[in-house]
Amino acid sequence: MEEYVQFFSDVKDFKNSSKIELNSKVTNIDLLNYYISIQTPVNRYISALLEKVIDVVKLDKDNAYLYSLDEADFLKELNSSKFKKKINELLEDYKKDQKKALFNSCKVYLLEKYFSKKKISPSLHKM
Amino acid sequence: MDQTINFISNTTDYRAVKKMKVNSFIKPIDVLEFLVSVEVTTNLQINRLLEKIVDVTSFNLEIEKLFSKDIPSFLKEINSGTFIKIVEQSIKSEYKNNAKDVLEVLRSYAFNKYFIFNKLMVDDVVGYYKILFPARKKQLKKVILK
Repeated sequence: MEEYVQFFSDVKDFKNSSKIELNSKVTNIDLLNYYISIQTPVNRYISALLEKVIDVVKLDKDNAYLYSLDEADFLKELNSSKFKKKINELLEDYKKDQKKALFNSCKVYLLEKYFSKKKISPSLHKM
Repeated sequence: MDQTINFISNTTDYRAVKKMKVNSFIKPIDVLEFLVSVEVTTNLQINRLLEKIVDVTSFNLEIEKLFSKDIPSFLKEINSGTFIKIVEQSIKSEYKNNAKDVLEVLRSYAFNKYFIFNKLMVDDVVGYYKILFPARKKQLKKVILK
């Protein structure tokens, strides 16, 4: 049986095609790097889609001060009730469950943007 | 014309098929939810592979000693020679010559653990893979809670 892992997308602004066939020469490290090579563009495109779904770009621009804060203050601000209110203003038209998921997505978006400047992510993908 | 996004894993260890057709009826949020579910899967596989490559028990014990540091100090530590030594000591014997190949992912892994240990984000939402979208709540909850 041919063993493989494959990812394919022919979506207009997300074209990606890759495959790794498992054989005796392919190591767990090769497979690990392959999964990271999928996760990285997927993660990036999730951020790009979020920008289409809600005005997270405006949220980001209107709160540019966040990026001048040190790490502890940034996280304190991101998790504050004041900031929660700012994000929820973008999500008024959404139902409860979807609202919570999009709320958390906004926070991840800003978290990743902040730490990308330090070239590290708390998620397992390349910056 | 329909466009598609496919993820297929056909290996002895893991079989999964995730497919989505993208057409004019599909909204960006639908694609977003689908890709989050793909990321849940790839994240899980990355973690499983790390367990095969590294003695994660001893690695975790070593990095936990750094969790009381503030973020700048922690980041300095995981970029130091000491961290490289931790990686080299934790990596399994058959991968000893490949420590450099897993260094970056282990830095992110350590940073991920640091975030969760110190509860730096509400509900530990440190990445999109941690987010529960309504359409995939059952599937994602089963994986995230593991």
